[in-house]
Parts: sequence; C-alpha cells; structure tokens
Amino acid sequence: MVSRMRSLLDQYRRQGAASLLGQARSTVAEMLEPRAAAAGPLVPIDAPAQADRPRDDVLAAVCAGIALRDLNLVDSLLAELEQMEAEESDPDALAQLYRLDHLATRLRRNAENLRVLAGQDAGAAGDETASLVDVIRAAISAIEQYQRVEVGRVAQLAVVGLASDDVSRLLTELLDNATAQSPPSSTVTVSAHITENGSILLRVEDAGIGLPTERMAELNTELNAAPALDSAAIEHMGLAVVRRLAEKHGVRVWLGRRSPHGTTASVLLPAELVREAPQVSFARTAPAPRTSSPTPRAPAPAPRTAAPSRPHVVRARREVAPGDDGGVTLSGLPRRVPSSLRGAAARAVPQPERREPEGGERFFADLADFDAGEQAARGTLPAAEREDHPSND
Amino acid sequence: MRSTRVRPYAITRGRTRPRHLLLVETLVSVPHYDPQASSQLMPETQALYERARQRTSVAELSAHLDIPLGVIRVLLSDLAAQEMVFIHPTGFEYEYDAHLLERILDGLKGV
Repeated sequence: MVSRMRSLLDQYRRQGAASLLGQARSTVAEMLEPRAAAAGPLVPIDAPAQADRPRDDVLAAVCAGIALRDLNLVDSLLAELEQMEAEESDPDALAQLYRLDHLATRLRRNAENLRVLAGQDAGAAGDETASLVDVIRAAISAIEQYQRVEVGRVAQLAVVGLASDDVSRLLTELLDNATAQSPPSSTVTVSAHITENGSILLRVEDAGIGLPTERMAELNTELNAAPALDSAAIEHMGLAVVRRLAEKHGVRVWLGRRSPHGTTASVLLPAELVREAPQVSFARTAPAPRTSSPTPRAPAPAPRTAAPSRPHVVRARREVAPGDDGGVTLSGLPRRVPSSLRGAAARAVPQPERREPEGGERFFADLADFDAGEQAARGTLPAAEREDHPSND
Repeated sequence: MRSTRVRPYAITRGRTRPRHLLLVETLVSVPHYDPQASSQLMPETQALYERARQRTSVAELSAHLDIPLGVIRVLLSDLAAQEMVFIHPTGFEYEYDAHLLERILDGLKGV
C-alpha cells in the first residue's frame, strides 16, 4: 500500500494533479467494484475496522488531498476570471469570460464533491452567515443549466456560516438533478419558506414527467439511509453527496410529487442553522420605508394626502382589528420576518399553496385595514387631523 | 457584499448585452420610489435601486456598490425596462441634435 501511494505521489510530481485525479478515481472504482459484488452493495464508511480498512482510508485521504490542491488552483482561476470580467466592457468578450467562469465553477463543484465523498470537509467553512438568497444563487451558479432556474419566494433569513456552503452544495446537486430530469424549455423553481418552528423549508420544483412511485420510494429510502460509499456513488454522485452533507448538518431531504406533474425536492434546514439576515450595506441610506409596511402599497396618492394619512393607518388598525394577527404583526414581531411573510402573502395570491389561506387572509386583513385608514383619512378634515394627532406628529 | 460563490453570470442569467445605451457617465435616477417593489428585488438590483434614488452615474454606482460594470448595465437595463429607473439622455445622443447646436450658436452670438 505504501509503495503504491508513493508511486502515486511520484506520479503526481511528474504529471500534475489532473492526470492523477483521474488515476485516483479509477483506482477507487476498481477497488470498490469487486468488493461491492462480494460483500453486498453497501460498505458504510463509518463501519468498524475491516481487514482492508486502512487502504480505504489512505486512498480517501489521497483523493481528498488532491482535490484540495485542485480547489486551490480553481479558486485562483476564478479570482483571476472575476478580475477580467470586472474590466471587460465588450459584451461578447464578457459572455466568453462568463462561459469560462461557469466551467471553472463546475470544476470546483466536482473537486468539492470528491472531498465530500472522501469523507472530508469540502472546503474551509466561512464564519460569516450567508443570506438564503445568496446560498440559493451560489447553488445555481454551479449547475450546468443555470439559466433555467427561477428564484421564487425566499424568506429574508440567513444560514449560519458553518453550514451555508454545504447547504449550497447540497442544493446544487438537487437543482442539477431537477434541470436534468425536466424538459429543456421548462423552468425549475427554487424557494425558501420559514416554518412554524423556525426551521427553513427549501423546495426545488421541476416540471418533468415525474418519477414512478416505486423509484421515488427507493430514492427516499436511500436519502434517509446512513451515508455510505458504494459503487453507485460513481454513477449517482449527486445523491451520495446530498446524503453525506445532509447527515453532517442534520438536514432532512426528501422527494415528492408535484401537483400537475413533476417532482419537488424538499430540504428542511433545522432552526439551529437559521440566522437573521445580515444587514445590507445600503440600509442606512433608506431606513424609513422598510418599517412602514402597508402604507406604500397605495397607488401613489398626492404626497400632501399621503403624509398625514400615515398616523391614521396605524390608529385605524388598532381600532378596527384590535386583537387580530395583522395588528400584532405590525407592532410586536421583529421586522424582518413579518416583512418577508407579508411579501410572501402578497405574491402568494395567484398561485395556490399549502400555507396560503393564513397568509392570504392576513394580506386581505392588512389591505382592509389600510383601506379603512385611508377612508378615515379622507373623511376627516384637515382641522380634525390637527386636533386628532397633535402628539403623533 | 456577496460571497464569491455567487458568480456574476448567475446574477444576470448570463446576459451581457443591455437593452439600453448605458455609458459610464450616463446618469440614472428613480422617478417614483416604491419601497414595496424594492423589497422584492434581488440584493444587487435592490442596492442599485436604493442608490439611484439620488441621481448618479453608472460608474459611481459600480464603484460604490462594488458591482462590475458588465453586471450593473444589465441590471439597470432591467430596471429601466420596468420603468423603475429613468436613464437620463447622455451628451452622446445630443451630439448631432440640430436644435441643441442652434441654441449653442445663439448663446455664442449673445456673448
């Protein structure tokens, strides 16, 4: 074994990483194949020591080490490309750079997957939380047909730095699968909702023909099984990667049927991985509009009527719906979550969904409250206005 | 602002050709600011929208927000297509404007 590794390393020095990577891969495949036939399909990585266990370990370590070198190279390449992209003003040349960037990003994904399969961390986990939008877009960046993915509603929350890159990687594999298994002209939608207990439900929906029931059950069983390295991992690398990353962070992944046709892959991130969204840098230039929630929905009345109507809206909300959830939302909860839910409710109206009645009702309640406020504002004369709210203004 | 894992092509869906003429010195502004619409934009587009509330040039936006020009042009063009951003006519377009040239001539005569 040692001599073999030495020869591999020598070869690495002579021929460079790329050829060795191929070599290492084929060695792994060759090693796993006979055993998979002899000792059943699954060889759990974490199983107690077997006779040839050290060989596995060493090879995995070699693969992981090479993948790490690849990653360093690819990262430099990406940084270089990003620099060139920033300086490029010709659209055609930029499009070409984008294509190279896209290829390099997918190379990085492969190297990271190799590390994951070898049982290592894919890369140094960052310590900064990443917003859900960025986690999703990072995932989209690394798939082949990234133009087909549409980002739906995404809660304004973030994923803790320890897990954000891994969640991206996991999502990448699901998105890649969804785009590969659906018609090239259809879109794949990815969305993220907060659940009642503070966890996040990510959904990847495609419009393919869907999976047969047995196959879906099979896949779900595999997704729930303990991570294992078997010969199937070579063909279905994505599934093996998803399984391993999900296990690492206590994430649940399952597949389901989508209502007209197609498949939905769901990912449940536990509440421990969820954080407040990081403050956006431009927030200080516009602090006011985000908190004053329903007022701006008005189809822009003249500024003179709009300004004094604000206190009325707030007051009318308390009078008309004292104990209603709408009022509570406006006063009590931290502003990020309600604002995301309200936005969600507003957009949810056309396309029916599970949590919708509640959100829809709230939205209509908000709207009704706002209307009432506006009526009140129109009804009361400027004189009454001054008397009513001397302290408010 | 964004992680390097979010690639530029993913922000513009690979598009590099804006539908509007956007030179570095072109000025843009927001005609009717709508916070509700703003909150539904993607982070970079939202940053642009917020920043453009005060009339600024394309180059300034790119520098302040640290977004490459190639990306910013496409995003601004998207916003302009939705009439969320107004692209001010640039000097370039006025170069052969007979009306403007006449006015300059009149002005010169007056001096």
